Formats: sequence, C-alpha cells, structure tokens
Amino acid sequence: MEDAAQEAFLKAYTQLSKYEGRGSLEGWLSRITTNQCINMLRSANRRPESSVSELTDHEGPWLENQMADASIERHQSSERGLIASDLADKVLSELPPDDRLVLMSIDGEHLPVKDVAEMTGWSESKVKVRAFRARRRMRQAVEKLLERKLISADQKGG
Amino acid sequence: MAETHITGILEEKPFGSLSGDDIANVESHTAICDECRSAYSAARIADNLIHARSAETVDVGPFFKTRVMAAIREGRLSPEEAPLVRMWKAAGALVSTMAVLLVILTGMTIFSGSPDSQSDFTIAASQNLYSPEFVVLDLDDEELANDQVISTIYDLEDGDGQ
Repeated sequence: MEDAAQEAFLKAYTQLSKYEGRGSLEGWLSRITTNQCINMLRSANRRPESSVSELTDHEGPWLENQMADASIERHQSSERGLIASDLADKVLSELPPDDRLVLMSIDGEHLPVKDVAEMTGWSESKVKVRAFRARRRMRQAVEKLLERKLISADQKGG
Repeated sequence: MAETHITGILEEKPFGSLSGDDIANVESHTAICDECRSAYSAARIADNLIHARSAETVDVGPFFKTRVMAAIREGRLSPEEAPLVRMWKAAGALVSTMAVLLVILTGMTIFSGSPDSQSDFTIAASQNLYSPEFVVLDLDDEELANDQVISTIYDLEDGDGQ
C-alpha cells in the first residue's frame, strides 16, 4: 500500500504540468491514485500469493460463527476484525481489480456512484453495472468458501 | 412476491442500504428457497468482510516522506540525464562506424598486402638497393666503424676492377 501511495505521489509530481485545473486537485489526485492501485492490483493478480482454500486456524472459526449467528455484530473485537480483514483480502483477491475497487469504494467506503465515476473516469452507468457484478462475484466467492468449509468440516467429522 | 428469487435485490445496492421492504421480501422468500437463503447468508458475510477490510487503517512507515522525497529527487534528475544519454548513444554510433571502417581497412590491407610487398621487392632488386653501396649509405655513420667503410669501398673497387 505504501508503494502505491509513493508511486501516486511521484506521478502527481512529475505530471503536475498536465493538470489543467478543470476539476478539483483532490479529484485529479484520486484518479492518479486509483489508476496506480488498479495497475498494481492487475500485476498482483498475475501472481496470486494466497488462495481462499488456505484458511488459517482463526479464519475457519470466524466463518463458522458468521454462519451460525446471523445477528452477529458487524464490528467485533479488533482481533476478530483483523481476522475478518485478512479473510476479506483473500476473497477479494479472487475478484478482478475493477470489481474490488468499486466494491470497496461504494459498499465499503460508502462513496456515491458519481464520485467513483469521477475517480475512475468511467460513466455512472458503468460504475453501477460494475458494482452489480462485483456484488454477485463477491457473494459467489463467499458461497464457494462456505461450501468448502462445510465439506472440510464433514470430512473431519466423518 | 415470495416466489421471486431475491438475488437481484442483493446485487442491486449495498447490503447495508437494503430498505425495510427489501428485507421483508428477502426474508419471506428465503423461508421457502434454500438457494436464496444461502445467497442471503453469503451476501451478509460478504458485507461483513468488506466492512472489516475498509475499517482497517494502514499507518505509513516513519520513513515514508523520506522515501517519497528521494523518489521525487531521482525522478527530477532523470530528465537532466537525458542529454548525457543522447551523447552516449551518439558516441556509440560513432564508435560503431569507426569499428566498421577499421574492419574494412584491415580487410583491404590483407587482400592487397602481398602484391604490394612483392612489387616493392622487385623495385628494390631492379635498382640494386641491396648492393653493398646502398647498405653502407643507408646506415648511419655511427653504426659503422671507419675501417668497415673503407674495406667495403675497396672491395667494391676491387670488384669493379675485375
């Protein structure tokens, strides 16, 4: 993440002469950073380091709790939050970078569609369609994870 | 309404933005549809994962500013290096041209070397360049002792007399 931030700053500095002052400086910086992050995610996707199938000793019980109790609070202890965050990274890594960006911006950070469109340079319709697909892919990735978890639990039990 | 699958509702908007009516529709349908029940459960867990991920803050390292400034300085230096790079490339082209010329000249020397040396030898022989007179006259005075010069000249005269 630091690398992405550093590259974004560097690009902003070297391309400052290209900033025409039409939009806000913040929007221009967000766009540079977004492009940088998407590029880095794309190159990271070419060499996946971890797989959802490799759940840690903590991630398995976290999922079990989630499955067992639908009313479980979203924000739990910091330790459980970290476990969930690591698991989220694994599940999100199965999604295309564009989907991850849209999902984290709209569903995670609650940014309006308009802001995401400005950040990415896409039309608002494209952002909405992307978000729709991204939610489906994320849900399907979690469903697969739950199925695998149930299968492995059955194998251990049987 | 309860018969309609609810996956479209789950994908249309963020999970946390589902209205009371949406949730009522979802719950009435999931009571009779296993497939949508598992989809609903997965959507809820996915939403929890997304929020856990976005809640995590990342502190930059203490040397972040130094790293960025160093990178910017390097980036700023690179355009000034461009003329040097251009000079280096031009020099490379010049050296390549000289090397090619050298190869051509060497080739010409090798191919035309033997006849030339032979013709030099022929000229030298026809002009009697290797006769004692030429040898003596060709050498520096210091290289020959006086008696050697005298004996050479006398030998020549003796030879002519005969």
